Amino acid sequence: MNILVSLTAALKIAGVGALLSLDRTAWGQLMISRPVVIAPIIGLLCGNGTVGLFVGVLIELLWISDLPVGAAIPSDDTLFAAVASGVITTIVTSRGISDPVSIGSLTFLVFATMIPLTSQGKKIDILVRKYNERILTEVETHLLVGNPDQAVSLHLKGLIHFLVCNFVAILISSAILLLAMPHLHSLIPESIQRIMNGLLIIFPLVGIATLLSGIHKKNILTLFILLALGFSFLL
Amino acid sequence: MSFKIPLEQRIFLRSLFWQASWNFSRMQNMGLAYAIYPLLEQLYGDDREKLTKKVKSYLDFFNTNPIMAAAVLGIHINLEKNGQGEYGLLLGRNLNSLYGAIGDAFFWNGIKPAMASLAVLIYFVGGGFWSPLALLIGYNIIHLSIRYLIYIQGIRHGLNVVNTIHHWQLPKLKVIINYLTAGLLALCIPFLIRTMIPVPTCFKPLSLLTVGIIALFAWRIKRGMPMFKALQGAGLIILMAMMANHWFQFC
Repeated sequence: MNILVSLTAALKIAGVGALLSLDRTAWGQLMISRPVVIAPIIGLLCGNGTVGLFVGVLIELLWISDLPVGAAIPSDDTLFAAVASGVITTIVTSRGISDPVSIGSLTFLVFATMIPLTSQGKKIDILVRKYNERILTEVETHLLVGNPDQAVSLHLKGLIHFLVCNFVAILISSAILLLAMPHLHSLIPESIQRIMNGLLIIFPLVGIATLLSGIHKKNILTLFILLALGFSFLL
Repeated sequence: MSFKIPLEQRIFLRSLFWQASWNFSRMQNMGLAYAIYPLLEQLYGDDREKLTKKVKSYLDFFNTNPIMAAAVLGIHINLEKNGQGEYGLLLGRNLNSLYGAIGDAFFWNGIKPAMASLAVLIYFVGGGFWSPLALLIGYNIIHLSIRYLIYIQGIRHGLNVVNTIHHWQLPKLKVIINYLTAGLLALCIPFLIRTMIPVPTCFKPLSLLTVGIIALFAWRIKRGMPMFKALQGAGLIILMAMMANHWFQFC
């Protein structure tokens, strides 16, 4: 993929991704920012909603037990989903890949590259929230001069901080991945690609394990094991 | 003819921006001041000095669950309308932690994982795009109705909204939802295997392996294993199973 095509696609992913990721903290919490929702939307935008949905489902449960309680900042799975689905669907569409093994191995490659970087997404979130503290000083200045209307409306400035930071983060990461991934993927032999495709199952499995570990009920794991084995042998 | 949104609805819509300027020092304080401002303007708009003082009083530290915050907002509106705004601010501090604990447990650790599990199950059953739709519709029917109901109850009954929320038994409901989530995830296993590993002859051993991996890593993650390490471990087990199958031709 050439630089211009990559940059255009990255801009598209970043624009929509940053807007939808506002739902995560700044606006609503309507779950539009969940991977299973944001990934197919970005996938559709990049030409393949089905692949986008597949990407979203694989990572939906991975960080679900990471809760935004008190001052704790959870890992940014929205950013991960937006970048991963955008990059994968853009490459699949532009190179006309239809073989499930190739799509699977590309997905594994993108995930394996991105997972160690998820802590960076969290750092960006922390940075925005620290930057938002500046708004408080501005608010106090407006209140000192008796201007409560403007003081209160400064609250929405935080929304812009979240939007801009997410936009830049998604833009940079998707541009880099869009330039690097097609070359890296083409270097992988077919036999290794088959193994990578087979290994994709670890994402939903560890996702389910993470979710179960986050439920603090003594017998929940036993119940799950019994039910899962029962369903597997019956269905 | 101009269309004007009623004050209560306008405040509710503004409350959707509750965490827009979330910060570490005072957390959601601006969210409360921003949401309640139209009411303060209506009550004290003629006296700029009093209005400024009122806005200032709402800028103290504030943190609770953003959904349950609707109840706190409703109570503030009720008390402000009855001229007891200061009383509401004093009580608010205690209510925040209570609603924060209930809301975080019910929504973040109850409804959200349940709906996400349902979405994943629908995908593996073959429901395609119904999967994200189920999450959005299912979650928001519960989320928005509770959010709006506690807001309205807060406005109508003030502090008595505590009794309404207590009457709903959200912590007990959350436990039931958690068990349902485990059931949904268990039901997901056979469909997940059929989608991800299309080897029909090996279905039963694969089910055992899959459930074993989940149980092992759920136990390890609970004891502090980082998710990245769990992925590496699960990958290694699957890789070994693939190699064993390649050499010994089980399936």
